[in-house]
Amino acid sequence: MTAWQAFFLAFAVILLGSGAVARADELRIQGTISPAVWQAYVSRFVDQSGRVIDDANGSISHSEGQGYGLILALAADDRAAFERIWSFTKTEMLLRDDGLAIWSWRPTLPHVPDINNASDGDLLVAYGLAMAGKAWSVPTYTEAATRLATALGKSSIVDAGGALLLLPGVEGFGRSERPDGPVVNLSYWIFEALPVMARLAPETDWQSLARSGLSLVVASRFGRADLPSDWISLHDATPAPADGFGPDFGYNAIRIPLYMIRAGIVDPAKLAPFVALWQGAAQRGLSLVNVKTDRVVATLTEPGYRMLAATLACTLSGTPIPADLKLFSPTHYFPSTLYLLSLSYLTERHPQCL
Amino acid sequence: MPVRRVFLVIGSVAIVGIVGAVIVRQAAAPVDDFSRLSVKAAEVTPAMKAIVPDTTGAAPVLANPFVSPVAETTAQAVVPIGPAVVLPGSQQPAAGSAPAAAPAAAPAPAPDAPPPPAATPSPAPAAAPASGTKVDETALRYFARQGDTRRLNAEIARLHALYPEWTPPTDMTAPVAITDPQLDAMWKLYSEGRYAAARAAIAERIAREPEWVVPADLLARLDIGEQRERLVNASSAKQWNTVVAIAAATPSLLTCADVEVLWRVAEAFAKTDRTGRARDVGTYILTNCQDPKERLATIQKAMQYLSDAELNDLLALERVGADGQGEFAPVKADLARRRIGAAAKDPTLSISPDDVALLEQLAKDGRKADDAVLLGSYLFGQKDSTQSAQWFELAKSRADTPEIARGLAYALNDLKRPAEAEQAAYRWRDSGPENKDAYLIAATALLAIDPPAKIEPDVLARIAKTFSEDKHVLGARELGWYAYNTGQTLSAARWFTAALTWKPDDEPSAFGLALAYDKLGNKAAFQQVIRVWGPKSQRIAELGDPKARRLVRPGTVELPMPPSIANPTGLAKPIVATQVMQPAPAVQTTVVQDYAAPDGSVAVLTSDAPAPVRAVRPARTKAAPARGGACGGRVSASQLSGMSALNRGWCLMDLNRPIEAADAFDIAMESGSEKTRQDAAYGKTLANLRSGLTDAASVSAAALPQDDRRSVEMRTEILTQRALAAYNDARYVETLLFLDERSQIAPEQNDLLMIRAWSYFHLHRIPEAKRLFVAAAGTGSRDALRALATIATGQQGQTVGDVRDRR
Repeated sequence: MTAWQAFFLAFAVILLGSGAVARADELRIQGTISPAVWQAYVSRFVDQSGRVIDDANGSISHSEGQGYGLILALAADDRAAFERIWSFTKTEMLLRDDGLAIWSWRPTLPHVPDINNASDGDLLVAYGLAMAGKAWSVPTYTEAATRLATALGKSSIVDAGGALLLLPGVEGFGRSERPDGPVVNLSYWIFEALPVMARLAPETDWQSLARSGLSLVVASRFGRADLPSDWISLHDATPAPADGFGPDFGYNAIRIPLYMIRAGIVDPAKLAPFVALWQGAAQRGLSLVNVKTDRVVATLTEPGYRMLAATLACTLSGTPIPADLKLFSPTHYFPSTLYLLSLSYLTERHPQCL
Repeated sequence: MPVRRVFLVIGSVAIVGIVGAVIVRQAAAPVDDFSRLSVKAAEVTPAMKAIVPDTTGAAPVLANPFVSPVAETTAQAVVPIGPAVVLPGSQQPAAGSAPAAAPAAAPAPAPDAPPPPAATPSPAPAAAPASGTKVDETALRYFARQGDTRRLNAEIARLHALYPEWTPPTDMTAPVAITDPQLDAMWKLYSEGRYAAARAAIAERIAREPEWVVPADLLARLDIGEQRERLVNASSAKQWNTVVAIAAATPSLLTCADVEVLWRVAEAFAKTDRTGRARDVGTYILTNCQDPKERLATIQKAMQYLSDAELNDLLALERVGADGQGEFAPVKADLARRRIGAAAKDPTLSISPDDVALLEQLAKDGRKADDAVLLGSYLFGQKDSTQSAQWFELAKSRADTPEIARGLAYALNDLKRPAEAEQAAYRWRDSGPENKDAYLIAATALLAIDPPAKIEPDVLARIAKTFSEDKHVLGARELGWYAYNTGQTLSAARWFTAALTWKPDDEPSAFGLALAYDKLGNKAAFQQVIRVWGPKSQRIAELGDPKARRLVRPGTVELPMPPSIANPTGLAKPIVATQVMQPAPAVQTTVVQDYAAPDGSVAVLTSDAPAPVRAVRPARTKAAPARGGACGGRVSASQLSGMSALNRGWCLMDLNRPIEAADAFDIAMESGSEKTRQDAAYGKTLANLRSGLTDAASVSAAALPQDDRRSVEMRTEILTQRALAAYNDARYVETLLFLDERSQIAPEQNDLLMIRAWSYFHLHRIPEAKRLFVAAAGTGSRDALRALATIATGQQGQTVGDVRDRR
């Protein structure tokens, strides 16, 4: 048994006791974003065909973006936008033989040069569909969510020595596929979605997946700042930054605290490294850190990134959101999306900070 | 699956399903029978004429094209409609059973079919029963107005399947007051393929008007439209199982109105190893669908993935026009190309002469090289290298590609024309591994010609360069033998050394190297090869047996030697330190220098006048003064005409004055007549042989091509002389090698038998020697009897004298 797995077993007891994945803590999402804010987002990042556009990456789209779009359309209670985004997702991305979505779509031909999937995208789409299916009573959404959840459970969730792992994609990350495999991405654990998936596809032990994710968050503390890298190798006894990726606490990993607190996981001990790193970040910007050299490789100052730090501070300490972050003005797709996800959460759980 | 099964079973669902039967009937209505259709010419596009039925006509039989006699016949003939298939349209809407269940109620899954995906319930059928007798024709009218024949056609089929009693309205294209502009806008979005926008518009309207009920038909059409998009996208992304799953779940997509979908489904079947199913889709199209272009395209697409047998099933459905021309005539050539292309890859396939004749005609008439290349490749596989080369030559006159160069080189090489093959392969040798192989093979074959061919210096230089660059072991070895056989022994040693440097365990090169050192007279180097290789190779060990050979002459030249021999353990200093060749790069340099003088001209290995021959010949000429007389008096040879010179040459040969004969033949070879020159070359070869100038003989033998008989004769003589020369030099292993080679093409006379026996004797293979002497003695040979006596007394015989006597 490896160290992180041992840790995982010990941690599981605490987690079960805390009831972090209990239903009562689940977000409702619906109606937490105002029409004006949503329209500002849609007009910038969602086209008529329902494609959510990543304007910082050559205007491509990805399953993650479509998933965010579905969740945010529900947050804005915008059924028309939801229909639009789902229609595109369904017809242009839900193409894979195994029932999962292709991970990226290019505006140029061929639209789908690479048929790989991204499990966080699949999870976000399934989660958005499931939540909307319940909120608006649309069985077809729930059925589609169920198909995706079932397919994910079959192809992307693997047993690694007693603990379940979410492989980032069906191809290329497993133990036999890389010298340092398996490799995971902790920001692919959308914790809030896992209990929902458990109800849709009970044949997979989603609760166990949630536990292994949380134990990995605590076990993957690299460098002086104790931060997880975006991509983590679980080949050895202890987790380590994966080969071939920048060893950074980067654009992926900055979502981990948001996903944790959205799922009701607010234990200060588990969030400590993020809290420490993000002291004052709501004003100065978010640092991306190379966990091997402990150097700051970039500082992200767009409001959407700073909003992550503000949301963490509000959740743990009741710190009000800085005034300049209270007004949404879209910048780029990714930070704007993070902003709306934060805003939706704060509106539902901590409106006093706004 | 035979043709008669028109309906495809995809997964668990018969395509027939909701639309199949309708389409069969609809499609079977003759398109060109305009008398049966009412047309409002000004408003209807030509394509629509075929599909807008006339229900106002009085004739009841023709009133509905779906039940025309033709259609009935076709359907009955080919469709196993009945218990096997549940047609949603056959259910009474009033009965209350949801037609949505129809796909699930279809026949049991075929064994190799994937399980049907979890159904996406179609809102349309679910709502259909509630609408009772009132059929929503909004979409129909919209499509008719837009001239969207594909969707109109599909919609007619769909509605008719849902409501069998329903007949399409006659006034579809007439202006109708738009009662619901919002709904009309939704249909517009739908017909433009903007499904996401249509769905958004529906959702927005429901938000504004909660009481508004979205027409089930619209939702059904949107579902089908989206699934079509998905199917096409999945097909483009090569997600074949998804394609099949969508087709199975959405049988209404599979109609003649949208043949592209059928093609993609067929391809998906083919790509998932279900070509039988792919063929069935083709059968369905060719049995039911009318569009000539689509029918032809169906064959073209099927050619990409069906086997010949399956393709033939489809070709059997060809329709022949009034002019007697089959509708698939335009692809006949492609079909022939396909079959011949397959046979080029697999020569065991049999091809009809018609196909070959057609392609030959096309290749001759065309301007492109492709058909000629195809024929060349095919004929090469059929071992007809003569014709193959001709087609590749034709191709080469039209295009210059690696494939043509390669094909031509192989064909020429197969025709024993390696010089031309080398020439053909040279230009494209670096275009890829296949072309490099072709070049190396041709060049190696050129060098391996026996007797050695005359090779132009520049050709030899480029061969040497390529072999060096590629570290081509076989080629280096062959260059070694070429050099050895043309008297360039030092070059031979260099090339054998190169081969051994690149491949230290190459025994044939070590053997060649030993012979070369021996011939060069370097005892130390020779012994070093024997030491390293003797334990590994018997024939090399035998070369070194001191009892079997004379002492080698002292060497004076700096010799190349591969590191694996100079320093076999890899530890000690090389024994012959100054003679060691460097590894590959240095070998290359040496080799190039060997063939190219510092000024770039090729200096050494020109085969028309090998150095040893040049050195020897004048002496011999002096030694045999011309006697003149009987063969042309005192006339100087240089004054003779070609034919006279030739005659004089033969005459001198008869007088056993070969050196003078060679001079006469030289003059004859300058003659203009091809035949004379050829004969002169032959004569000169024989003359050289008789003078003991074996190497010169082999060069002159290759100067001009000879017929088979003469070739064999000359080769036999050359081998004879080589065997004798080797024996004279006490190189007994080599003697046996030459004799063995000679025995392949000519019987071994008694004198050579004696040489062989003595060689065995010197190699201490006494039992073999004795056996031969006994045999020869049995024919009355006194020499053999003497030899037996020698063996008996343990003495060595006067072997050298035996050989000299023979000259």
